[in-house]
Amino acid sequence: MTATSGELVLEGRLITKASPREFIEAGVARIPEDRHEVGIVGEMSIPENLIIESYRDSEFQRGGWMRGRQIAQYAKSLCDTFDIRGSGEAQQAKELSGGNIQKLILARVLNKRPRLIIASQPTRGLDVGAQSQVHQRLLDAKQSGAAVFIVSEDLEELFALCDRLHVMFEGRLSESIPIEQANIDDIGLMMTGKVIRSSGRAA
Amino acid sequence: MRLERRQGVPIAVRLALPLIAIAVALALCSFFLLWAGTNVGQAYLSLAKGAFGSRFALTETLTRATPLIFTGLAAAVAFRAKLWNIGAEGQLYVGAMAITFFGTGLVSLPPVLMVPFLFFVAIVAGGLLLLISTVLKTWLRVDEVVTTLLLNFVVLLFVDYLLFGPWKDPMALGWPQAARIIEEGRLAGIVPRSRLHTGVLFALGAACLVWILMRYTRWGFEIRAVGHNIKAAHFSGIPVKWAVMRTALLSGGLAACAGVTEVAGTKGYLTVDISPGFGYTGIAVAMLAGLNPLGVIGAAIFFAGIYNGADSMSRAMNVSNYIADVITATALLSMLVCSLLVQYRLRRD
Repeated sequence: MTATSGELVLEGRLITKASPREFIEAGVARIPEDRHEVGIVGEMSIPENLIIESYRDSEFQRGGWMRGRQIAQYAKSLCDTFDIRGSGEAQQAKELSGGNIQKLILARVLNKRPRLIIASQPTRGLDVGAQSQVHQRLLDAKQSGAAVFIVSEDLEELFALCDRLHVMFEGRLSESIPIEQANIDDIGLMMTGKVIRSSGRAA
Repeated sequence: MRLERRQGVPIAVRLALPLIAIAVALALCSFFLLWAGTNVGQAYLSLAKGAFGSRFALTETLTRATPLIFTGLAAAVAFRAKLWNIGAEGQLYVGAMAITFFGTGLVSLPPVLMVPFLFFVAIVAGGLLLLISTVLKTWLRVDEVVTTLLLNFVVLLFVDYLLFGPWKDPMALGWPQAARIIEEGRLAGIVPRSRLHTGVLFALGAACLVWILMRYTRWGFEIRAVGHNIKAAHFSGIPVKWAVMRTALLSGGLAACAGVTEVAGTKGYLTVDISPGFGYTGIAVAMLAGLNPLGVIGAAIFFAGIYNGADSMSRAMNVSNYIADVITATALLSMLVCSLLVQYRLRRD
């Protein structure tokens, strides 16, 4: 999808018309909603999926030759740090559980120290353990200075993670609501189209 | 009932898959042989003898397998990237035309350079032909199955025109054939008193190179990612369009090499019938090999053996040699069914 109006600026860099690769190089991390369809290449191995956004780096290839040993080492350390539980490095990524696939995607993007993280429904369909791991990773990234942008329908998740909320209704974005002034009932009403004044009371 | 994906299929089972498929195919085809009223055991024995049973049979089978390895590799590479190249037949003839243009006297180099030069011009020609369909697919969304298939007929009719017209060799007593490839450009024989030529070594080398390329290089990484999940590859920053273009050049070039082995090797000059459908059979070879470049070698030799063996079986046992087509088709179908059953299990709900 490309923007039809307006512009995107990340730390002074104009990225309105950037390609996926330019987004990645500008420090944008992508945690897509559909993990299987656009998150991973299911038929490729876990290490290959871990480097797929950075396979051009001289760490992973030299003169067009993939550096298998470095890639395996890198993958092993990431699997340890991010607690990705598979049956071995030759395993196809699609054979992992949903939680482990999400951890793989987090490991892939967070290890690059992104400036902006765009996460869409980051914990949908995950068990409680995986959910809290994902939440902790996102909070850690926020601590280390990344801007985290979360799109979610899980209000408890948003209240647990966010500093500011916007509600989208019929294609329009509400004004920004600081988390201290928000309460879950009002947000629920806004999601059905009610206009809430900034005082925090229903109109 | 539904199909459920199996977890972690052992590698030994995957390797044994084509062998099981072939065994199933032979078992199924024995019913046809019984129907035709022959002794199944003797029929298969004469088929095996005709395919691999003598020095002559073996060299003939390898000679026939040579172009099949190239067209099989062409299909394997393209299908891996989900580029449905049905045009290997046309690319083969374009390669054959290119070396006839350059190799019948226009350019003359010492043999060590002439043979690589002929392969080079053929690869460029075949690659460019497939590039036409691929550019149309990528930028205008024209279905490449249709364009590659139809270009086969365009190319073949053009070869017809050349051989009955401007390229007709006046020394050929009226036969529609082009002038001979000059001696420096011929692929030398490697077994005396046989048709087997160095083309088979080029084919084996090409299969190894393609295997290495797909497995160990950045281009192979990109091609595999694009083929398995084009959306995820795109959003991961892989230049999808360029990866597909490179695949097209590679696949078309490999198919064109089959034209080189037939014109500069087996036959010596271009005719309209240098290929009895090698381009199409290459698709079946690639499928039987599970798109594995090294598997293509075995699958091509198997197909060539069946076709050669069926000829001698039909002479010895008086059954139609069309049984070869039945066997290869059944082998392909049982390969598809076997790989489905290995990857999935049937579950009753």
